Amino acid sequence: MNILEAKNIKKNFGGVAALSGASLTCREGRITGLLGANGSGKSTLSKIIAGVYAPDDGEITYLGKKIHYKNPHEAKQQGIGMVYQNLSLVPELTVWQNIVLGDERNAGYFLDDKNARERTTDIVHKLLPTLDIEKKVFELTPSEMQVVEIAKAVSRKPKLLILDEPTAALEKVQVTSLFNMMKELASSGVAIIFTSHRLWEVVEICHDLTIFRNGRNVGSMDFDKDEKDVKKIIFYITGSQSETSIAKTCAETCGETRLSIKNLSLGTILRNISFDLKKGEILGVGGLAGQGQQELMLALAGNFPKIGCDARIDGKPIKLTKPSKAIRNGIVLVPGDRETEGLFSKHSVFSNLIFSKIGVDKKIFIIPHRKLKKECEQIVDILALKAASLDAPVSTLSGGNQQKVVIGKWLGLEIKVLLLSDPAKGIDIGAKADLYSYIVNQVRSTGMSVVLYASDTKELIEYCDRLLIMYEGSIVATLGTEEITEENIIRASMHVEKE
Amino acid sequence: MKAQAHVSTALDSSFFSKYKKLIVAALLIIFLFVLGEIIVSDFLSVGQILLTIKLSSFIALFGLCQMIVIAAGGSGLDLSVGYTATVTAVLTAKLMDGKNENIWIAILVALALGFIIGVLNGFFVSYIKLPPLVVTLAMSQMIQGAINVYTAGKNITGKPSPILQLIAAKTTGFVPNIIFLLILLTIIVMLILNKTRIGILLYGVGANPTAAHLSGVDIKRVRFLSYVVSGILASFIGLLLLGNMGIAFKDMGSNYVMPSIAAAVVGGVSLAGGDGNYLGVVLGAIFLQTLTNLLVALGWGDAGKWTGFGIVLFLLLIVYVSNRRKR
Repeated sequence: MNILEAKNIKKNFGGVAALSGASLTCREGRITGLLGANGSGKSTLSKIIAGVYAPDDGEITYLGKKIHYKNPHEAKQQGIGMVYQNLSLVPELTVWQNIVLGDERNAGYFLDDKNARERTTDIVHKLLPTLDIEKKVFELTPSEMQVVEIAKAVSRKPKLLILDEPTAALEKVQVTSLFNMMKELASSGVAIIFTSHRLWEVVEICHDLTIFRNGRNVGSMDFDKDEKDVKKIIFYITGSQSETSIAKTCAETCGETRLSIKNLSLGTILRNISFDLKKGEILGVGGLAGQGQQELMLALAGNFPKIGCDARIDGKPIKLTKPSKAIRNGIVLVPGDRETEGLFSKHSVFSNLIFSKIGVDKKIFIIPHRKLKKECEQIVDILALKAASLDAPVSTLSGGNQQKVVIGKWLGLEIKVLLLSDPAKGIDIGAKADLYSYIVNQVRSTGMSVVLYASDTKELIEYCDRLLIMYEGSIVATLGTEEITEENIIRASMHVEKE
Repeated sequence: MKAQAHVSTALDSSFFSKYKKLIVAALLIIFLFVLGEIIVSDFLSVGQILLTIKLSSFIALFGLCQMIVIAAGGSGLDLSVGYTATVTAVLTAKLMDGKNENIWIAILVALALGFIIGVLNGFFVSYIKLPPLVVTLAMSQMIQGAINVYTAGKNITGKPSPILQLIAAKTTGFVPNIIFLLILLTIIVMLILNKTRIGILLYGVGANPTAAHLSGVDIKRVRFLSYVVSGILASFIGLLLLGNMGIAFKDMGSNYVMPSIAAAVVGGVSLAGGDGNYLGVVLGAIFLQTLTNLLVALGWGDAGKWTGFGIVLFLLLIVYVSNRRKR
């Protein structure tokens, strides 16, 4: 039975077509994968179904009735639950308070907290048995928050559950429990819409697929009948069947030591970290999510004044106590969360691209507009950055292009060490390939060094010359070029072999 | 051909969205003048317009202080500007004693006072991380206390140097001199904020402090300096205020604090920080003054003025906030 049928949905945002005739069918007890590059319209369609946006045209039938929801609340009451990419939890409340928020029940005149705790425990423990439901949300790691978000949606017993990129912040074990729960929900008759940038996840869990490109359906697959052909799916998503694999050649090009870190420590978050980074090397940082990788990147960028560390660049001792000190020594960071850490969303592409250069150069007083405009145009060319103009606000760009701006703002400076903290998070396959091929080219041709942290292990395997595995703030293993395989990474990450 | 047409419309729309708030403020002013002409006769005349701009110039000057601290973000606000101006005026009136040769001492005193007050505000807000509203409110009370003690039981003596009166109170032909000063200041501020490193840093720190910090900018220092600049400006405005009034008195500056914040809001400065166009603030000040004139002409007096300010603030905030939500 069809739970939901969306037909020929159209939606424009200020003259830009986000959806131009998209359709989607969800059946009872089945998981439907929604795939497409960023800006292909999958988030927009999900939000239309969940009542966040109203469609300009087209019709949606839910449980046999045509629907026009005015807000997400109405949709929720009718059994359409959505887990958003951006979390919607209240940090000051506990896990269980968040989960029952908006769905509190009374016992007499007062709230029935006992019942609320029981309801919460049931669901949360299926996903993550170790999570303490009395903890406040701000104390949780990002992956635990994501689990709470999912639990909150599931607790309303939806008939249609929309999961928009739920796995981006999760660890592998948690992904497995999520998949188990999704299967359980599906077998009880719930229809699920699932989106993810990790193709293997979609292929593993989904019963059928709908693929969008430029706001339109370009393909669909039903795994009852069709083969799980990844190449075909990629072809649908990108519109071209290209394999971009860049050979690793570090062994020959890697030169002398560029950055040497000894005994880097920061409270209990980072413990006694030492490593050498060579010229022209891409050094990966991996391991389970939340083992201090992001903090290591921030520490190397000079974000922690209280850091203890003996650092040398090209043999010269340096201090990493301020971002400006790192930047003047050519160590620059592309942070993990571009919107909150990397960009001035309201400001123009131009202002964003020149900010770092102006920020660290105290000799500049009057901005040489014409010269900088030219430089920025070059940067836009080099990165294949798509923007209406240099004066367009960054918020109008797609996720992939925003990320290019974050990288582009460093290109006016001399980069010795580029720190990349999950640079491909939330950007589509095409933009991801662009980004990495540009970085690899730079590394091979200029001798720039890169430290790369990626939450997707596949990226580490494909691009890294060497890989450090972190566990609870320490480096527990170093894998050489030949040893970087999925199996080795997982084994090292779990830290099975205790010394 | 088609492509060209498309580009030009894109340009037009970006032009309008960029200056939308300025256009709104200008239209509101015109609307008020026309309305005034219809209701009260003799409202719309060159003399009346120049007088309005003259009266609004002090709101606009204090509005510059507000714009700078608001643009730097972190819920920036400076309630102490009016009191800083008063204390400067009270102390320098006696020093100047109506003589031009004493102006330099007055300027040095103004600089020192503004600097000290600004440094204290900036230190507590930026380095101790106290809320700007509370810090600058406390500062206002302390300054007012000092003024009360200083003026207790005696008259405030002294007069401003004639040169200050020339700038702040006299006219050239029929144009008040302070309007020239305001135009010059507007040009200088616009140049500094749009064409120099200072502007880039100020707006960047206000728009996203985390990103600015990770880009190597010392955000605490930028915010600290925004209060120092605000303090020094306020102190110099005190000199002009003295020049305009001819004498110093206990609460000559404090009445400008709320209108200066209102002018910034009417002028399109986002209270969240990271933007602000001084021309907008000037227009905002002129709008508020025109509204006051109209209400006074209607015989509504002081109560009407403040109620009017409040209603206008509400309406504009509703419009601006709903605009942001649509995006």
